[in-house]
Amino acid sequence: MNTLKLISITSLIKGICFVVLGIVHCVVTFMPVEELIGPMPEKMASEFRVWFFGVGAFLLFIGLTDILSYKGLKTAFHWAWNFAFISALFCTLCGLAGVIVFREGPPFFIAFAGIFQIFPLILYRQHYNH
Amino acid sequence: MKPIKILKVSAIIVMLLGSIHLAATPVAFALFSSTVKPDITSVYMFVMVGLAVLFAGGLQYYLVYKIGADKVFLRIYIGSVIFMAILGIGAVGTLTKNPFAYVSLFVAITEVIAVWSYSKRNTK
Repeated sequence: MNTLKLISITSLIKGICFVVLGIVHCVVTFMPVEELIGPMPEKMASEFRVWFFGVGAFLLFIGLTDILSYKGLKTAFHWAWNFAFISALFCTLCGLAGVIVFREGPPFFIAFAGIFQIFPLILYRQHYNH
Repeated sequence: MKPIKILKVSAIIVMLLGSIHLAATPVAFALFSSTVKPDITSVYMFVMVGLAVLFAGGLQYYLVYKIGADKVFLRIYIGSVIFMAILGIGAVGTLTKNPFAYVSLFVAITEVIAVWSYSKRNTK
């Protein structure tokens, strides 16, 4: 398997995983807040739901961006490299922040996926010159 | 005004909204602390939404210059507009006294109309 195909497949797998994670995040928003993080005053609970749903929508959006840039990465387009790199960088930053805050759970997967994607992108940047 | 110009301006506004959201983190939680004690999960989600809006705005600004080159750019742009619309509706639904919630919904509606108008003109 050549390098470009491997990088594009990595992006596709990450995209699919993020779409699934985003859907789960959005669905979980409709559970009672007490089950998510414990008791919380009603004033904050409704706003917490919007932020929680917003993060789910963001994961979904990043996943779709990764899936849509799959073909571009496969055919060595520079724009696809830009998309994949920015997406991986955001995932790494958001995931690492989450790992520091929660120490476990989905942010660990987000950070791992970001780091997993960012290294081959940096290593093989010279291939993306179209 | 041409749809592309509207999309360019709205992308800048989205980036500004994301920056304001991030910059408001200490202020928002100082306001909350006066009545309820916010936990670390809420702070994390708040910051993530700010980063997400900033990411969407930056991506939109980048895409505006390439939107006519390939269909994939328009598709990603539509994805970002849907994301902003979801956030705008959610914000207005819960933060009824916050003017930024109405600004984000207004920007999202403007983007929906501009993207729809652009794709209608360019698919004929």
